[in-house]
Amino acid sequence: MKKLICAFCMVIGLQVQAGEISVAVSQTSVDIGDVISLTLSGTALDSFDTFGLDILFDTSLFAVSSGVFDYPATGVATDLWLDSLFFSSLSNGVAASFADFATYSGDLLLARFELTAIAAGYSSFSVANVEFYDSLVSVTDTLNVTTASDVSATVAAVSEPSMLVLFLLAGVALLGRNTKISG
Amino acid sequence: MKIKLTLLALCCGVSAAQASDLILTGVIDGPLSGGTPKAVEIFVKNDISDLSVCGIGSANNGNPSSGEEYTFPNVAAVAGSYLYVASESPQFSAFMGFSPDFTHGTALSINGDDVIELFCNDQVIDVFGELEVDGTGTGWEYLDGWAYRKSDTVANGATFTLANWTFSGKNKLDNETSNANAATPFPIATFTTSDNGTGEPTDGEGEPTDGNGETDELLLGACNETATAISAIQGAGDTSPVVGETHVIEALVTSSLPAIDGFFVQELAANEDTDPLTSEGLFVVNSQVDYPAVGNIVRVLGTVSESFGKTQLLASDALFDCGTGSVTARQISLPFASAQLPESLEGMLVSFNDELVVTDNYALGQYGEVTLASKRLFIPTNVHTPGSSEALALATENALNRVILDDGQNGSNPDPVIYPTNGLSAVNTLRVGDKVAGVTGVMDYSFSSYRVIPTQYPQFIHSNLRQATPDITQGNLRIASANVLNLFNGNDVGNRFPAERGARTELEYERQIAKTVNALLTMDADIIGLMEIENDGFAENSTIFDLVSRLNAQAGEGTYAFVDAGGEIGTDAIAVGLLYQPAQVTPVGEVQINLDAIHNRPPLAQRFALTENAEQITVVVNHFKSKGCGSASGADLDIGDGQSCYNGKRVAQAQSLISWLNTNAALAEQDNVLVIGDLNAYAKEEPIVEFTNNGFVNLVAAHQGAEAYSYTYAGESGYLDHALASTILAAKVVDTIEWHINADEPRALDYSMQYTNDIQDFSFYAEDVFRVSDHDPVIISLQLEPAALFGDFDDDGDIDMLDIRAMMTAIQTGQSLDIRYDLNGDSRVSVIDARLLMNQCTRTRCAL
Repeated sequence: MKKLICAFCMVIGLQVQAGEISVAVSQTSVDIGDVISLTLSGTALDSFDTFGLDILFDTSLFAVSSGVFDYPATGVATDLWLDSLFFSSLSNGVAASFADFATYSGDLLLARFELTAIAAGYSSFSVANVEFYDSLVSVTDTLNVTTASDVSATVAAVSEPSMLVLFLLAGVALLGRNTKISG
Repeated sequence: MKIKLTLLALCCGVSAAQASDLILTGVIDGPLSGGTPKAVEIFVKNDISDLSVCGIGSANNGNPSSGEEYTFPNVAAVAGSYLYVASESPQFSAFMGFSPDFTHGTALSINGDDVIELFCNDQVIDVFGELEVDGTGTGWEYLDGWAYRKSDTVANGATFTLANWTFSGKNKLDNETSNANAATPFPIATFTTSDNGTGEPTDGEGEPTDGNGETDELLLGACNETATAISAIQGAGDTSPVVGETHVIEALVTSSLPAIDGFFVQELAANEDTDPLTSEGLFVVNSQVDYPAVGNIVRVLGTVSESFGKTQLLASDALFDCGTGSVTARQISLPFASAQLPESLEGMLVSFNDELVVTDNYALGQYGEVTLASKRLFIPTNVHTPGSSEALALATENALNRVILDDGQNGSNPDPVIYPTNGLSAVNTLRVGDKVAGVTGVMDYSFSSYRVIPTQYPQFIHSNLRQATPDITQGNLRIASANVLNLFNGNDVGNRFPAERGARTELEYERQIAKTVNALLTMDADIIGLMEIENDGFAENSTIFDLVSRLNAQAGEGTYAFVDAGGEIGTDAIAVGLLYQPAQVTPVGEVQINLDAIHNRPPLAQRFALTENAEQITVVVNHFKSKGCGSASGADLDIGDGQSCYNGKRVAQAQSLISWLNTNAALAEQDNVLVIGDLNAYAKEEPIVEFTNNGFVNLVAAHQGAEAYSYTYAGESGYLDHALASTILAAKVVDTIEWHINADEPRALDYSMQYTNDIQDFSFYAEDVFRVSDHDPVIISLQLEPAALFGDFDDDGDIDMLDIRAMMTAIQTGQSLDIRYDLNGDSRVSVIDARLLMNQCTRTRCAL
């Protein structure tokens, strides 16, 4: 493996009075070709049956698993009714919407799906354009939901080899050369 | 000019009536209320000092003589005058334009099939009709028409001689309001006789004369001697200036016609005059057994007379072989340049330059004749506003654009009917619109019309071919309007036939309904509006029940059903009705009946739902008041604008119907409304304008144009049968046609056996779709589809999660959505609107 092991998954949340939406990635430093998880969570959410939001990131660095945009979505984990969860690809991320006859509340995994690093660079991950409704209460008033702070991830262009591996490679080379001389 | 009876006080110097003093010369069964006027005309041959020795009586319905039921009063009558005896005075006066001399209800209680006897000195001196024979169906029937004695025939005592009479034809006075304006008027006071009882010509005073007022006898003379020019006999006017005079003519025979008791002659070109208004031809009534050959020059001595407007010479002596020669037929064309032109050609050999078109074949079976024109003629109010200058101009043009192609036969119901080529039959029809070429013959005037009696058989071209199935663009719903020509299945008890209308016998009914069933099955409509079906309810013995049973017997049980309106509808003998195919449509709600008293035949309205997609349509079937003037009075009278009688009533019926459709609780909310039926109004007449001014679309006009037709009357075509759609429905109409299986066909090919002999009963009849009725059916093809379902993004007819997803995708990706999707009214379309659309899903939880 030529990648650095991410020491931790950085989750930054901002606790507010009502519910909060946060986004997290499973690794903040990855190589091209690596697959990471993006998790969209809600905490302390008031009862809702509808929401819409955008998950923003650099789509030139990360590609969303194609099944996410199928209907019903595949490769998506959620505490919600999957058939009522809809995703669209945006130029700057993924739009996620939900509408159901049932209501949900509390701490919830709204969605988790995989991203593949496709180019080197740095991308932040954030949530925008959030609106939550409980249509049984009001079809015009949005619920009070805040968003947590951004997270980010770096994709390396080429992974740096470890010193140990370099030494091992140099040793193997030398052994090979000596064998030819003695022989 | 009619000479009215001069009643003189009884005095001396005139004689009492003798057997030969009075002649029964005419009988009329009129079209006004109660079949009036019912009257007879009697010619007074000699002065009568005391008419009270004479009287009159009628024998009704095949019964024996009733004897003298009315005796004339003790008054005198003058030779040469005419007496008129009627059943009453007001209607007689209104129709004839003068008062009758005598009235008697019983003696003149006649109905077109009854016998009249004229008595003097207790003896029958003249009779019309056969005693103990019901005149219905006989050669002397005069129902709603008249019979008139031929000039120079004499009373035969108690013996009736059919050949001495001419007839208007049955129903020829129908719808007429006055004799003066009638198409076939009673020929008032036109009987003439040169016989004063002694067999000698008279001068009107009973003295023998040579016709020139001189007492010297005019002799025939020899060939090539001096003769009177035919142009001098014809004169420049409608009648001869020398009527009653005796003349000798010498001319060439152009047509020899024993069948009509005479021959036509024409001056050789060298002997013609230069006046274009005087004809060079003349009809000679031949009293001899022999007839001259065509091309012979003949010399004839005879008396000039007018017979129903035809100038003729009553030959008393003749030389049939004064040489031979030829004349050239006068080349003419239609329309005539003027009304006077055909009169100037009366009796002459003519030839039409162009192909002509059959415009009227109504009398083809009965009289062997058809009317020709340069093209199909249209009812003026079918194409122009009634009373407009355009309508009046077209009426004038039409009047000049017709001539009858005669068969050269006298009498009625000829066998064979010689037109078209090989003779008329059910499989060899002659349709209105077919063409006729090579029409050459002599121009005759008789029965109030100019006619050509061919000297060579014309060429018939079947250019208006029959259409065995309707040619109509297919939709998903087909509706028809069909007038079924008084379809009556007879009375329920006792002798079923004749019924009040329609078939006269069981066999005729079977023939009628077989054709009707065939036509209805062939048009294959999902909903059928019927007119002129017997108003006898919906029970098993009703006509509509019988009709549907017979349809299902052929199409399969349950294929057709009728809308049960509960019982008899209104009080008229006929009613409207509705049939439908239950596999295709289902009635929704109760049938609605418009019982406004303005409707003599209450309209029916029924909502139907299509089996295919549950779309609904309301069909309203109607039969408005007819144009007949039988009982018209006041505002209902014909005002001469082309719309005939009862136009005001039809307008009121249209207004009542429109109001009903707008206010009736079961009808008012319907968008898809179709008014069909025989509205007895042509396309541009006021009742139709009522509809088009109130949001209805004339589908026949929209799809067939200005020259559509469903009916022919007096040689002119138009459409009385309509399809009028609400504006919303009109956009869903794929096609509308008038299926021409009836209007163009000769009446002789219908089910009736009234005017046919045993052979024609079968040769004229086929169990096909042609001449089922006198009206063509109207067929409307529609494509009824549900309105686009709001929210059905994928257009698959429902709203499910795929549609919610589509809406969500549009919202997520910033696509423009119709503001109608702003379901929460916050002026934007967002995810909550998609959630609200889920409430409109077709299935639970928006399942797919």
